Amino acid sequence: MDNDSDILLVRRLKQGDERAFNQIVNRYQQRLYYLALRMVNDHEDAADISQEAFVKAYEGLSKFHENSSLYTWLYRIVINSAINHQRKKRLWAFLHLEDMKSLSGSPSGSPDKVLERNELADAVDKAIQELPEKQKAIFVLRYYENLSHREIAEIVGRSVGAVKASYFHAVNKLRKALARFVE
Amino acid sequence: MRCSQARRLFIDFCEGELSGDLLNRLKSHLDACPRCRQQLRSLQRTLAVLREVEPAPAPPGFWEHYLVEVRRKIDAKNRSRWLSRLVPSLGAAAAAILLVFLLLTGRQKEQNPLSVSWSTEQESIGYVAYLGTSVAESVDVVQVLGEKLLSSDEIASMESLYCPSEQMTEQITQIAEEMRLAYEAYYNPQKGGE
Repeated sequence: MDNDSDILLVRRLKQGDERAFNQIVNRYQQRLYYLALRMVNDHEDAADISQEAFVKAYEGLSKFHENSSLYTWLYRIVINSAINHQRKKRLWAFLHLEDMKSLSGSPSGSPDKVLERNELADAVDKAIQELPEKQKAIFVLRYYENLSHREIAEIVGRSVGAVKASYFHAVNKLRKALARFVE
Repeated sequence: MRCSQARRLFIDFCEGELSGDLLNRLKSHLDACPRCRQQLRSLQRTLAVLREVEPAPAPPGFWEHYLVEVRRKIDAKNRSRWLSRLVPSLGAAAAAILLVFLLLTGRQKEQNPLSVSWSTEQESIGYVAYLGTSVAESVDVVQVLGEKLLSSDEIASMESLYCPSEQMTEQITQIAEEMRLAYEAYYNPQKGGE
């Protein structure tokens, strides 16, 4: 049963087989969580965003067309939620005059864990977090999730050309931000 | 090939997506241009560093509870949606159930119900009993009904109230009877909800 294709799982779920949904969650939970984590760099927020994505998928199953792929649909939900989350967080920080640097988040809720991460890892986290949200999404989907430009274009709602251009700019910004570690 | 053209091809080059004439022209340019070679090396190292850094692992136990948490959120959303549908129709559904509840119980509690805290489910039951006698159209009643007293199955059965059927009266009575038993169990524990 674990080898059922995504589309078969969706059909089973539409027919009322709740176990199919559990299989979808088990299949994609790690990918969605780490995608969200790359986007927001905070465990609690990533957990919430990825879990809410499954909730939205469950609720919106009737809108899912079988000519789309399940994972691009799930990815789109996560990316949109993460972008909205970050925008709200920035607005909140702005309205409350908080230290904007805190927006880069912490890789986990535990101070011990933060200490464990080395300077390079922190610099990488910070550089990625400082990319504009859509650019960050495109970079993460391309570099870490190995999606094609066409799949990314479908997820972020831009043309393939725009996706390629954004990826190019993102990589160059990261190269400059991390220059002291690589030159 | 100019430097600006060459640099636009660096990412495709790093990803192995260049071939044929374009690849040969880029290689020729790199052979002749130390600045572009240096920039390409810098880009390759950056990409390597980005790959090298793994995200922080999730805390212990996180994955074991992941599905349960997703299911919990779905249930919470379903309840919330049901409550939001119920609130505008209090007179038609919730108030009707409370009315039956009052008819069946036919009593009022003696202590000041407003002093009841929300710390236990039993106390919430007492609060519902009080609200049922006075402010049946309070949204609080609905929230208590949904969140404190009723199971998912009961909520599902109450949903049918929006599509009135021959079983409507029976359902209301059944739910009201369960509420009465809960009330009795709390205020007269010796009788065991008789």
